[in-house]
Amino acid sequence: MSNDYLQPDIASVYEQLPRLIEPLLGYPFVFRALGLATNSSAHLLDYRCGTGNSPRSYVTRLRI
Amino acid sequence: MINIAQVRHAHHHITYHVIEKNTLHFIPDQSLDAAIALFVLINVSSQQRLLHLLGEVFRVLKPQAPFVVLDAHPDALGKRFLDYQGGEPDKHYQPGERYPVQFFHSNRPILQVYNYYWPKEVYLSLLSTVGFSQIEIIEPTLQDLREEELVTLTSVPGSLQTLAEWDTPPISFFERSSTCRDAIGAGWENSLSYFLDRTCCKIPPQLLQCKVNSHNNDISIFLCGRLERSLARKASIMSHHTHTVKVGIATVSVINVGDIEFRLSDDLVVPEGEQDPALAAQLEQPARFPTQCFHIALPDASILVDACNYTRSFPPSSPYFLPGYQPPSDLVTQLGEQGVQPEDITHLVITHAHFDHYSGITTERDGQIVPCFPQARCFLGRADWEQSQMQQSLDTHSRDGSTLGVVYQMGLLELVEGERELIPGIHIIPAPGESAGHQIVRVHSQGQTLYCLGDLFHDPVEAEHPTWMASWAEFDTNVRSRQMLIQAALDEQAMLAAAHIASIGRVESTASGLKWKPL
Repeated sequence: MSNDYLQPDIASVYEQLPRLIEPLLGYPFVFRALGLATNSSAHLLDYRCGTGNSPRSYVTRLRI
Repeated sequence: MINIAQVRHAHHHITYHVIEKNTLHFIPDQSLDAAIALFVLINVSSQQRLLHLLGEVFRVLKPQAPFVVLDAHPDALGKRFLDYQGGEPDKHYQPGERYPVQFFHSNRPILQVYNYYWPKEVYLSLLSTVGFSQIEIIEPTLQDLREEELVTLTSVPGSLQTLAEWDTPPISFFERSSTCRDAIGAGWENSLSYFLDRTCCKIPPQLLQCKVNSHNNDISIFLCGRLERSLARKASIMSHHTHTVKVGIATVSVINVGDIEFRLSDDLVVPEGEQDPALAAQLEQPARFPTQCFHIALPDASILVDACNYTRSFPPSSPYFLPGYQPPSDLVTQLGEQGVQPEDITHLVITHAHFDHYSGITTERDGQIVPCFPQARCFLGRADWEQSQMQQSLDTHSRDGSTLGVVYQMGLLELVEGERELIPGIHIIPAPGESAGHQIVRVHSQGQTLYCLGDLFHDPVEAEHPTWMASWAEFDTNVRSRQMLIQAALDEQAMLAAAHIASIGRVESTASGLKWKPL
């Protein structure tokens, strides 16, 4: 793994990055692939790097 | 990062963990309904770690649970997208090589991190190795979106058509062939989706376990409709073991019947004075190589180039045997998935008499060894057939006798000397060196050309350094064959497909020498 995260300002800068394309060509297709629309509960493993802003948006989007 | 996640993005249905050594030891086997790995694999510097990481995901997923991987598109390195650029323009990266990623805000650079380049073939190979199957690729661009979906980009200066994202996919999406799925829990087969997107950051990987209990059925309807639209742009890769390319009216399918692993440095001889320290370390790493056969579909011919039976070729005693590796479906099965039956094959070209190139020409049926492709004329270089070792091992119980010996006895074997036209547009061309009778196949149609190279090159590094070759090759002869091919390929801008190189590619002549460019 890269060790860039050791730089103290990486996380805060990353948190503020503009995200224009990702919400259009990224996450929607993930949801479509997974079919995360169901009336039953499910456990999802989100194996990732990040500050958690995207996972937080999932639960908002899915209204759970 | 983890602190930000836990503080700013806490939710009662989300649990964050820090993963140590890519191991999900706190998750039981087959316990999760779905998994995604977004911007993770591009942060991993070795195939061994990738394999372990993906193996862990496979372990914790329930059978038939889906998996999505999303990373920067490996074919888009050097492209300047709206808010990031990965890699340098016109630079050719080697698998595992680190490249810079620059993020922009209002056209100003604001953050630089590093990722690792892994071509699609590496992802596919690793994913199949750990057990995932039936993968397709979707590579969306902005053109695929509806007008109302693009409103968030209205603040972007200029026309959207000028953005790289308009027609260059920053994303690839590997996905099962089914276009309409039920929701989770409704009996999906074990599937995997591989989704490539812009790169993110460099942080220790974290785990989010998200208990999903959605009641938004609108999304479900949306899923199927959008997925069908997206699939219209899927790449020509039909599964992770077979992919196709058009050459004029010919359709060439590349069929991988199984991977082998070895250190290239074990067999590769680099002439004195040509050693490259940067490459040497790379060549000393164990690496996976596919074992590929090629099918050429034409209106009036069905031509197979090499026929490998993987388990025959690489038994446990083989130095290339991979313990625990589950090979893909055999050649006949994969051909069947393309709609090609064994009796459809009209010609079978054996590029050379190394067993992994002809071990699948016969099969056992009712206790008898019979040709696997009963209608096919088989074409082998005469020099390979006449080598004394071959002639001494043609008794029916030997591996040569039960393969080449059988088709010879049945009058199906034709021995080739010099160039030979099979049908218009398809030529066998001698290319000795790897073996005395080694030959390649030229496919030419409507101005396009592809060469099936057999083992003329085992790795792109040999195409870029034609004097680097396997220890068993005849040096001068092999160099001549390679120079002949490279010159022809440059002149014709031909596509090149080799038995053990995962990507179809082209050679290009650059200021720094020959370069292999994967398509």
